[in-house]
Amino acid sequence: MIIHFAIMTEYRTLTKRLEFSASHRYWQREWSSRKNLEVFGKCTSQYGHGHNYILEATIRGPLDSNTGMIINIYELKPILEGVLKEFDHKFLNEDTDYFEELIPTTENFAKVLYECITEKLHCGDCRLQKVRLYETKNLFVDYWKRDE
Amino acid sequence: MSEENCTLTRIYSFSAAHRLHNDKFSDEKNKEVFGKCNNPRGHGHDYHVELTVKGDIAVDTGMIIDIKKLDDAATMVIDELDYKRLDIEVEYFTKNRASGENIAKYLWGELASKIPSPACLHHIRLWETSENYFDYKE
Repeated sequence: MIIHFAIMTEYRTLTKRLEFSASHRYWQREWSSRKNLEVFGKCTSQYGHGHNYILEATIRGPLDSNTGMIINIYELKPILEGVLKEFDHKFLNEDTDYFEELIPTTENFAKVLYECITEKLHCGDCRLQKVRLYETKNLFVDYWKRDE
Repeated sequence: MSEENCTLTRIYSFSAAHRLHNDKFSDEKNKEVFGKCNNPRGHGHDYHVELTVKGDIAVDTGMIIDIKKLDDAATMVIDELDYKRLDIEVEYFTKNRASGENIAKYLWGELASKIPSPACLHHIRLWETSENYFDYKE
């Protein structure tokens, strides 16, 4: 009798958390100052204001039986730091290329970070599952592309 | 499959007292089932509510919801519970035990219709202490 053992690939997730700081301003150029103030309130303040953001990047991938890991954090951390370097201690509206058209709301910022990390993460079958971006301890946005 | 998903979670707090008790149980059984939470004079918690809304990111505002409107809606509901003895002062909890499970369900019922459209309520997580929380979703 031949017994077939199905080798099941186990998928796991890992979440890495990093803090960085940046300033931003909500400004819709197609609107008057009055309308910007009405919609965005304090967030439209001319010279910007800042936050200590926390990024949580959740990576999903097959478990490597040799290491017991899906991705080595020593490998992941520099990738994420490389992405955040563009944003850390910057005025998002003017010091980066992403928010000329796009308003740097938490939603849009999470989306931009999701795209940037996805682009730079090349590690076997690992992929970015979700980005969680805390703007303050009482406000965070989740951004992901597939329902799982 | 490549559909974009975005949720925004806002965290609110309130402080309230409650007593877990069932009139149909004997005193002994109430103590057995609810333990310390059956103290006749009640006890309290600092509750934290994680309110998650889901929606599309609007092109003109870059937001899925106007946070001020969300805050107004949430505060209106949560203020009804803040600094109250839930099972005595809040009608819903005179009929439904003020357990974490039921408080989370109550918040969903009160809030779901008050979330400014087109966003909608996606999930509620109620922290009763830093060591236990209750999730609710319909």
